[in-house]
Amino acid sequence: MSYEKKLMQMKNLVKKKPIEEVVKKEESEMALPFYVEPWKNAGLKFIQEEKGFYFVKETFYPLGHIHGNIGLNKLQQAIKFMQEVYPTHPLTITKESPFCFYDTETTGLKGAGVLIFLNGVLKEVEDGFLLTQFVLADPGQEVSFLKATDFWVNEQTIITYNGKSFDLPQLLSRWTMNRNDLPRLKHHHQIDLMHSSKRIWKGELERFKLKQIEEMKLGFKRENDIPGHLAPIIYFDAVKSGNPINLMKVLKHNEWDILSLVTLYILSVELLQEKDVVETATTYTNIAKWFRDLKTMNTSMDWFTFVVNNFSAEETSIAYYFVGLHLKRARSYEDSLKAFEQALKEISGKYRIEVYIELAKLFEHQVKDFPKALEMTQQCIEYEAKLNKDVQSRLKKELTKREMRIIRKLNISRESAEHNKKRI
Amino acid sequence: MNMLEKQSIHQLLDAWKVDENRFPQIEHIHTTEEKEAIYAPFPETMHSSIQKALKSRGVNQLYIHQRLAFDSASSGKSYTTITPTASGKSLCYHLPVLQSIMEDPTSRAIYLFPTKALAQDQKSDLNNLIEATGEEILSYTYDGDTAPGIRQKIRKSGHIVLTNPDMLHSGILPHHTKWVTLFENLKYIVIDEIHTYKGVFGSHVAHVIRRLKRICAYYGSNPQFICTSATIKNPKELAENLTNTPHELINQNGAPAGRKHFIFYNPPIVHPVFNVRRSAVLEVRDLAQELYVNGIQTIVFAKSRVRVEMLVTYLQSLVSKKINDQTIRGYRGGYLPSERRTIEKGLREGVIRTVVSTNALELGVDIGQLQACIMTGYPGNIASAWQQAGRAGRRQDEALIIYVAGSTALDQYVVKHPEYFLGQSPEEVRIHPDNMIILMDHLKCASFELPFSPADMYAEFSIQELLAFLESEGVLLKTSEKWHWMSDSFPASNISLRSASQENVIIIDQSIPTKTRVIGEMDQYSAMTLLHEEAIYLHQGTQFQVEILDWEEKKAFVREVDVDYFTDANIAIELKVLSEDRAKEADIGILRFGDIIVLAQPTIFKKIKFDTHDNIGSGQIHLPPIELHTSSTWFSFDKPDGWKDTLLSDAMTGVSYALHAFIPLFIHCDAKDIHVVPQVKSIHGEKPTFYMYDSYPGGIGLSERMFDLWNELVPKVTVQVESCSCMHGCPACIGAQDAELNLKEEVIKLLHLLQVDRHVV
Repeated sequence: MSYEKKLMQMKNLVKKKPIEEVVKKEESEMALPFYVEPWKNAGLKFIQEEKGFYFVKETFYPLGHIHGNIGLNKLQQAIKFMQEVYPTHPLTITKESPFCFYDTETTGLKGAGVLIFLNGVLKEVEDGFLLTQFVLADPGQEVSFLKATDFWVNEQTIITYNGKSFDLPQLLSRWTMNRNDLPRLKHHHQIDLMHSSKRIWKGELERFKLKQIEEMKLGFKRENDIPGHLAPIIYFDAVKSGNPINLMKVLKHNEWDILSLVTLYILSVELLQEKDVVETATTYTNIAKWFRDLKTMNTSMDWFTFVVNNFSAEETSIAYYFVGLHLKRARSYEDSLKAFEQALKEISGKYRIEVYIELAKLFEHQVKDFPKALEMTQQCIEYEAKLNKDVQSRLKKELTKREMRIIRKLNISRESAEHNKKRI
Repeated sequence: MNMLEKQSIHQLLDAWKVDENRFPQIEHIHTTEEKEAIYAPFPETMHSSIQKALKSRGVNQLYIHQRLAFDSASSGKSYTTITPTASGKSLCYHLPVLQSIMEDPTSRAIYLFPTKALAQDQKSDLNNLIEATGEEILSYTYDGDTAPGIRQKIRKSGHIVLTNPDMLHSGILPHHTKWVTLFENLKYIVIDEIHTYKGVFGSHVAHVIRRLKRICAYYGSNPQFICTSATIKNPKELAENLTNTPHELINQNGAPAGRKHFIFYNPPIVHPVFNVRRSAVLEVRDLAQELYVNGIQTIVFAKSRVRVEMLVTYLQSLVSKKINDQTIRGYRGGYLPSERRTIEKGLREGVIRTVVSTNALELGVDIGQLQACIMTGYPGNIASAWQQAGRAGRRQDEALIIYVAGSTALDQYVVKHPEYFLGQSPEEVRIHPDNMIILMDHLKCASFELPFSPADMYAEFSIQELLAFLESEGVLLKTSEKWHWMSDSFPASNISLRSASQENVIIIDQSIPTKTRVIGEMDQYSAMTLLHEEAIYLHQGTQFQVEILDWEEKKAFVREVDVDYFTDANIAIELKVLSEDRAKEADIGILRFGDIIVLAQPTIFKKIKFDTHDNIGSGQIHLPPIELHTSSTWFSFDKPDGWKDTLLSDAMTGVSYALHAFIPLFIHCDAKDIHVVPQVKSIHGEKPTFYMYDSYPGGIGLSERMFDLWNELVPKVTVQVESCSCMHGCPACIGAQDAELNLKEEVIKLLHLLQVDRHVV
């Protein structure tokens, strides 16, 4: 029978009442789910409190634990390095508040009807790490489930992968949905490793799924992993059927995600720490640009210099461009000119236009070599025309203006040169 | 306004009164005199910044309706105002809303407009007013066009959020946790133009509002409603039904109005025997030409997109010699938004002198006030007719409104009974939130937004059984305290408010193979008859032929052509009865009400020549049927003695035609909202039967009204058919017929048979 037909038959079930006083809800007795035993047998701990219950799984990792090809014991040193050398960098975990690595599993992607059913939190403990995975016992038990975390107790630094736009907004949304029964959520400091990975490996990795990074950079390959998009169905099934087998695979998935967060953090800091040639010129150029955008110019310059000194000409043109900019700012115009000329050899795209313009400016205003300035400007016009079909572009207008101005100056200098000749 | 133009309406009228071609066609002239404004002083409590802003615009007192609105708002009531276009109605809500924000800067308001375009229109108006107050009040539109970058700012700090029901439904309510500040502090919900929320769309919106109220209650706010409406019979009832909240009605209108001339114009009879009149479209063309030549800025309303395009084609031939002339334009749904904005601007600035539009321009789209309005046929209901007429009439100027009747029964009735239109008895606007399909759709959305508890009602509905049904469908899960959403789907994205969850057909122009482009879109039901293969589709006066209709992908590929005909398609209907809910006996038959399934399938199309309107060819249409579950009232009767099946079939077709033509007059709905289908041998019960059913899935209460009104309807229809002056049947009564059949007599006989006195059992 079609859905519409069923609905038609239900017509008489709908009763309408005039608006009346809201019936006071009776406190219903707490009924335990029928699957407490099978879930316990699968390895979950059942926690019952005064107002509700939740499940939890705790996993301890000794300091010597290795995930992929990175040992967790390197975390302490990475944190210390950032605190000492780059105290304001976005990857720095401050000394002031405790930190945790955090990842959720949810019943959907967006909206107030999407539940978090798994909160995975990894913290540093004495001689190792402890992963605590809180599991929502049933959709009616959100308050106990959320309150079991300590996100309402104290401010923390929370390290996630894409947490800024997903996990934390979800957590906030769930908190809002239960606002009458929960203490206020604290405001936490966030470190989103997806953002930092994009800074580091832009142009180097095609996709920024955690799984790709694990395989390409962290030396970790998942086996028998549950695809994340199946998590909602698996949770619904576990609650309806009581069977936790697949749910435990989701816990495993979540555990791997969080361990990879730790090793990704370690690797990211190592890349900022050591000028070793283990990655490509693109990666190191990215790192240098990142420092530049963070306004730490000298560090940025060190990295660009490292790239220029350690990679071949075709890989270093962008670094040369930035070195040129840096030198220009330091008023070392001749060195700056050399760097831009070096950059021009291999550079392409929008950067090439930038280099032409910088060269034209230097030749025009500093070196006063107007024929060279004109040559750079005209080559730029030609190159821009190939790149950009829009005949009305603002850049085109600016370039034409520059061309006219240089020609004018050129003529004046020629005239005065001739004038001087005559005098002699 | 300069004197020359002002006089020309006058001169034109005088000239028509002595013109031997024009004058006989004018059935009636009605003039409404100038109306003085009724003012009231500013309320003492009104914030000084608002007073300052109004004074800076030269406004030193309010119209009476604006004052009444302000007072109702101050006393904490929800209210509905009815005022015509250009009466300063927006101040009826702006003033109290701004007042509340100035008294308490944490206050918030939501403005709902029926379309995105109207919201964007109103925003500039509102912002001008806010600027004049000099206060820090932030108002934003929030819709599909809103840049992601400023969405968060709007959620957190927008005082007034201007949006539309669709966005509220799928973009705001399901994400209410991101709008905590708004929902905690919501003081006013403004719903503009509520008369547009009718039928299925209105029923959907009624549920969106119920969901909104539910979310507000969760966050502890209890906002007042302010609604505005065009003149309809039941504004208070509609507002209360829409918002599930008691409303006060403000129906005084203090705005002044200029002198208006209404002309009821009937095209000349060209075939006296068949009572066939000259095509209204051609007549409108001539009238519009005359107004254009005289420099009178005119809006022409036509009922269908096809007619709009035909008229634009005709009229543009006036200026075809001028290069790139933009003074005559078409306007309708299916044009791209940028194209519509350009046309609206052209009208306001007076560059466009004549615009031909569907009812798309009935709404509050700001095009300024024009001088004349021509209606091509009766738009189907009085509220629409007044909205259309309201487009003409500048405050200190005379206006001309010409109603040109078509040959349909309804059109002819109106032209012969001007009091039906002028008599101020506009129709009711009905919504039907009880529709099961719509109710269930929104129950899902509401469950997603906030779980129901086992004691909860949903607005006025007891819904516990329905929630249990949703659990059995696997959508919800009941725990000890709540019904929880248990699906990874996002329900709002599967539920469209505008049509019964059908995607539109995209129209792609492939005249130049390398440069295919999208030129418009159309709903599926219309597409069956307007975009079938070989159909001639008109867009801004250009003819296109449909080459391929890809029904699976919902794409129509068209190519520009130049032909001298247009196409017109037929639809075949099949019916099945699902359930009978009510029945009453009659001497000769039984009237029943219940649920049915309708299968609609287009069959053939005809090619009809321009100007002469001759039929010059036809073809088959191959498309799958569209299925509709709806409610129906049907009347079955024993076959009268001595009637052959073929004769009875023809007579029943004639009766159906007459019934369908007059039902909208009696239950005040659009002709397209209801269908009448005769069956000599009904599939259900084998007796001759008339089925009357709602055009929308689940039904919206129209056919149920027919169940109650049947006894009154048949005698009235009989009188209309008998009094029609044609000899053998004409479009104004039972449809045009061949003379030899003498069918009109048989139809009248059958109508008399059907109206034997009945008693309710």
